[in-house]
This record gives sequence, structure tokens and C-alpha cells, in this order.
Amino acid sequence: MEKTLKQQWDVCIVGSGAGAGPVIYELSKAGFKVLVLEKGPWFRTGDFSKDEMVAARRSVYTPRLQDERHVLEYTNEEGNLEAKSTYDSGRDFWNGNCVGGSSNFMSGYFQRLKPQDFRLLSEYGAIEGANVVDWPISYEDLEPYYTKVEQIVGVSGRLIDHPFQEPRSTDDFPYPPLAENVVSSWLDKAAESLGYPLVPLPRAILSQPSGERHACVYSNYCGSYGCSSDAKGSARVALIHKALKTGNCTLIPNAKVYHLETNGKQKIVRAWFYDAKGQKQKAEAGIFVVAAQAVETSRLLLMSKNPGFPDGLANHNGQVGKNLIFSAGGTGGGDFFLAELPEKEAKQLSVPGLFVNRSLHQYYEYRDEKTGQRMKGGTVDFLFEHANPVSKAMHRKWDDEGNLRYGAALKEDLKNYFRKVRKLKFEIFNDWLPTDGCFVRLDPKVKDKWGDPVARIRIDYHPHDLEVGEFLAGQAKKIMEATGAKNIYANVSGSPPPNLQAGGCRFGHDAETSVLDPDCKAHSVDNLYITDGSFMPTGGSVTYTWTIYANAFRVAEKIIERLRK
Amino acid sequence: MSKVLHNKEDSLFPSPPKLPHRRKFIRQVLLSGIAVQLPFFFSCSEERKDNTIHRKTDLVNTIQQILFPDTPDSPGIEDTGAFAYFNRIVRDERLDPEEREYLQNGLRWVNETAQEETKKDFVQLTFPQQKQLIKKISAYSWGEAWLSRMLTVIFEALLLDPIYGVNLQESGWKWLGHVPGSPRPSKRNRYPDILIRKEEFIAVSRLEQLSNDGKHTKNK
Repeated sequence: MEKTLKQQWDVCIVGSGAGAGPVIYELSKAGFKVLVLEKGPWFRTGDFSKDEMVAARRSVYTPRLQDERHVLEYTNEEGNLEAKSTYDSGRDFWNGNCVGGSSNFMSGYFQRLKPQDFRLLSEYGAIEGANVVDWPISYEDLEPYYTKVEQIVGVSGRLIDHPFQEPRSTDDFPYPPLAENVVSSWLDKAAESLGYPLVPLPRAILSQPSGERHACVYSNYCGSYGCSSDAKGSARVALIHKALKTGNCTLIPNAKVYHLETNGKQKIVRAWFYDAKGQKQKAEAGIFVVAAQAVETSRLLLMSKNPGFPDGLANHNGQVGKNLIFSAGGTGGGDFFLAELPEKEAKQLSVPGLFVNRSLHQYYEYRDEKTGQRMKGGTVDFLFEHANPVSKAMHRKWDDEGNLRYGAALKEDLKNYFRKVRKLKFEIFNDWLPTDGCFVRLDPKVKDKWGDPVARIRIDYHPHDLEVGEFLAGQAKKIMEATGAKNIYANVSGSPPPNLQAGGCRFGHDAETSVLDPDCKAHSVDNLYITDGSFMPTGGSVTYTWTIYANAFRVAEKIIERLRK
Repeated sequence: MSKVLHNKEDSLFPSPPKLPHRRKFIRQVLLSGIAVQLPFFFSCSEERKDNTIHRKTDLVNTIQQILFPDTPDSPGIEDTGAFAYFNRIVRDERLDPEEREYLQNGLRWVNETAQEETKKDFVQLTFPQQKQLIKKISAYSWGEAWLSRMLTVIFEALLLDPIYGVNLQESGWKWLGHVPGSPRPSKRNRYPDILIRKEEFIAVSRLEQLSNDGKHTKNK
């Protein structure tokens, strides 16, 4: 039986993560009636513990793959297109499906884009095979909102002078930096010996209490885990809690939106969703905002076929789902053998919970040694291997020859690795160039548990991405060597990190080549805004969350201006 | 595939699973008749059923003992609670049925291999023979993949929170010098209890209220 929510809302928001949170917060505070439809459950802070079983071993924060999956399509080693569902491959493409979305489980590495990221085409020129464009807004347009995020969501850090420091309207971060492990000073010295500074890495984690949120307690389990002190700046804690207190916000968890219905023209009139019992419901509002994370946002639009939109909502030009991007780069690391260090340093290095929080920005731009060409580079973040013990053990299953390790040899290896080594890792971030080969569409056959087509993601990368990634990996390895780390390695690949996805509904001035206008309103739909990372035509070379938050604050202001007219 | 078999990495760049798709590893039964002649886990009579349970117990125990043997100054397999944990996993209806079936099928494949090689059930072999057979199986693609899964079960039993009836007396953590995070899981928020959400039912009630009487109750 279908039911209609009888309340008429000013704004209906699909999703409740980083792209939705600022809109929920700002509109509720401004006195507008806001309905939030969140596909996942509503975990409270008290539900979170440092339990690897829940956070990493079972599908608790994400759907079960037998119920909901993606289909990944890629070119195999033989050069043929191959499609495999994530249920079959085990390669989970979900992030956080719950109130607050994946912002609950982020590590909170917060870095701004830099001015040149807004004009990649103008600064560095076209690259054959890549759909590089300039953004329709500038860094200066977004700067006030980056600052707003620092203050409202909460960003801790410390500024230093370095060549790629982006312009700021405030002198420093509102919260001092988090406590650091001794290894941070080793990294600083290593970089200094190479002739440049490492940048203290800002984090969306409170180092001091603020309102009802506590400061970080250095639990040693941050990324992949919900925060038990509310220090982490999730949309749930930093924004939605405050929105709910206004009395203007209604949040319905377990509400999976599957169709946005128009009036036959260019206006959405209602959102259809399945409730927790699987019943069809519909909600009506004046304005609709979609922020379901890039892949699922494109999927919802493509599923929402309407009169006038036979190929999906806002897809008048076939651009919905196109130019999907991730973060290019890779990972690497090295080992510190405690027995080889002075006792005091070994003890300091072994202290759990303290952060590394260092980032290499020196090569955000560089000159190619062979061609002399000015190149857009990227960043490298340094971090400890995650404390998850099962995960650590899993990496010890295979010996150097790739054979399964078991028996007494396995036990000896586990003991040595856990007790005698501390692994320092690094993660490389560079632009995943948008191409015609990376996009989302609806799978023609595979359905989710509600019977709706799942997202089929074509994954392709530009060779340029690997070239830049390899360059950055080389620089990171030099720093690792200078710290005295052993067994240094780096892996750069075109494998997409599912938690760093953007694009699919890029914004731009031209309605023929973009889905959204510069205010992130759909060109072809009067009352549809998209505020997750879908709008990004290029991604820069840092994690996306801060930019998504900032842009969502910017768009929220545009929506408020419109509602007040 | 559930996360019981593939960890979700904390890294921003999760590595692809080490192993390709599991269906590639469905065992090639060289002597296909044997599986029919020896209904190892699927006998119907009560007598056979009791015998089967014992043999299954012995089989799981022995394989786990080979994969994670007793060694000095370290927890043995019994300290991990891995056998009971294995049985809970294969009965956990929230996990992928195919995955649970795969874990159990591997037991049958090991026994079939023992029959092919020695004309005896695995549990009838001497311990050195059993170890030799596992070594041989680990060189097969299907065997390596399945034993890897069994190791994952052992790792979880060794290193997850004792609230799950594993890692008894925190023996795994103590052995490896692991410091657990805080807060630790409770009976309320451990798996699968966390999935049974009181708040969700409140939310549904509220939704019904919105649907039926049209009143807009403000959140407090």
C-alpha cells in the first residue's frame, strides 16, 4: 500500500552525509521545514565502540552485498571489457550507509583544494583523452565556506609557510593541532634534509571540546570507526544534531528513495521511497536536494525517468553519470624495527593513539624532468598502519613468494610483526583525470533487494594519472629513506578507492556539457540541487570531504536566498 | 561476499582482495564417484549423523590445529575459541549463504582428497599424514583459497574482542602485545545486536504517525 507523508516540506533532502549535512543545518536554522530521507539506519554515538567485528569484519555500517551490490566494469589484462558484481568479487563499493553517511567513518584528513585546482585546464592545458575543464567558480568563491567548515564542523591544525599554502581569510585553524607521535618529528627532519618542509595535516577532529562535543581521546581507532567522543566532524554530530534541535528538521532513517517524480514539466513534485518495512511512501516538497554520494546520486537520477526526461532526470544531454572521478595515486610504506632503535625512541614510537599528521605538498606542481613541462602533481599523507589487529594479521598470510603461510611459521611471523615492527604508511593523492571511460549507468540485469537496477560503474583511468602517481611515490620514498625506515615500497595503480568518489553530475556554465549550473541546481530541472561530490568536474589532489562540505554550505546559501524571495 | 572473508581496509586506498572470485576454486573432483559413495556430512540415519558430527568436529579441529599449532609461549587453537567460532559463522544467517556453504564444502573437499590419495577419511589418517595432506592441498588453487578462508576465521578468533567468545582471556591480544581501543563493545552494540535497533522502530512509528494523521511532531 502506498502512503503519502501529509506534511509539505520546504525542502526534501536525499541523503545525510557530508554533502547533505550543511544544507540540513543551514536551512533548518533559517527556519525552513526540512525533510531528510536517509537510506540507512540511525546509529547514535553510544552505538559506536572500537570493535573491529562491527567496523570492519561485518556489513553493519554498509549494506550486505547479497542485498545490494554494484557492478564494476573494467578492461581486463587481455584488453576486453569485463563486468563483475561486487557480491561476486568481494570488492565492496559501499561506504557508510547510515545517518551522517561515510563522514562518520572518515579519518578526517582535511585539506583544501588549491586555487589552480579550479582552473586545471587554463593552468596546465588540455591532456589528450581527458575531459579536463575549469570550474565555473574560483577558489576565492569557495574560501569563505572552507573557513565556515573549519569553525562549524571543526578543523584542528597548524599553519606553516610553504610554497603551496592556499590563501586564507583567517590567520590559523580554530583548534590547535592534535597530539603527535615522535615519528612526526622524524618526518620533519627527513624532509628538511631534502630541502623542503612537510605540512602539518589538518584534521576534522576536535583537539579541544566544543559545545556538547568532546575532544579527541586518542583511542587509536579512527578511520573506519564511528567516533565515541564526538570529536570527529561527522555530518551527524557537527550539523544534523544541531538541525534537529531547531524543530524544523524531520529525519527518517531506513528510507530508500528510488524515484523523483516530476509534474511532467521541469519540476519535481515528490520523492518516492521505501520505508523500513519495505512499503512505498512519498514525500512532497518545494525543493529537492540529492546528496547520496556520487555513484548513488547518478543512479537515482537515471532511475527517475519522467515525461520530458526519458533517459533520467536532469539527463537532457546524456551527461548524468559521466566523468566519474576518484582519487588517483596509491599507497606505500616502510617498517621501523624497534630493536634497531634506541630504547627511548622505540618506546616513543610504540605509543598508540597519537597521530602522524604530516603531508607532502612540495610537489603539488612540478616540472617534468624529460620535457620541462609544468605538471600538476599532488600530495602525500603519512600515517601509521591501522591498529585493526585482524587486518594486520591478514597481511601476514602470504610469504614473500606469495605462498600461503600457516603453522608455526605463521605464528612466528605474527609475533615478530606485531611485537617488533611499527609500519609507517603513506598515501598518494593526485588528480584522477575525467575521461569518457569512467562513468555510471544502470545495470540492465542486476537488481537490488527492492528490485531496482543497481549502478554499473565503468572504471578507466588515464595513463597520466599513473605517471604523476609514480613521480609522487618516488618523492615519498625519499622521505621514508631519510627517516631510516626499512622495507620501503610503493604501489601506484589505477584501482579506484571507493571512498573517494566524485563527479557524475559536473557543474558548469554550459547546459549542453554539464548537468548542474554554477549554483549546483540542475540546468534542466527547476527545483533540483545536488550537493555531494557529484558536482566536481575535476577533483584536485587531496581528499574531497572538506570541499564537499564547503560547497554544500555555499549551495545552502543559494537555496535560502531563493526561498526567501 | 561478506566481510568475514575480506577485510575492509582502513586505508583510503583499499587493496583488491588477494584472491580472485571464489567460484574459480570449486574443486575439480578427479574421482567424481567418490563424493556420491561417501556422503561424508550428509548421511541420514541417526547413527551416521552422530558419527558425522564427531568426524566433522575432528576434521575442523585437526585442520585448525595444523593451521595454528600449539607452540611455546603462545595461545593454542583452543585458547582462541576458533572451533566454536567456526560453527557460529556457518550458522550465522546474516552472512552470505554461499560463503557459509563454501566454508563447509571445503571440509568435504579435504576429505575427498584424503580418499583420493589414501583411500581413507581424513580423520583416519595419522597426524603427520594429515599435515602432509594439508601441505599438498595448500598447493592447489582451491585448497590455498579455502585454507586462507579458514585462517581468516582463526585470525578473527585470535584477535576480535572476547565478547564474541573468542580470544579467551584476551590471550591473542596479550601474546601479540595488542592494545584494544576504548570503549570496548558491549552486549548492546556488538554484532549482531547493533543491527537490532530500537531507534529504528521509533523512527518507523513516527513515520506512520506522519502518514496517518498528518501531524508534524517536531524533533526534540
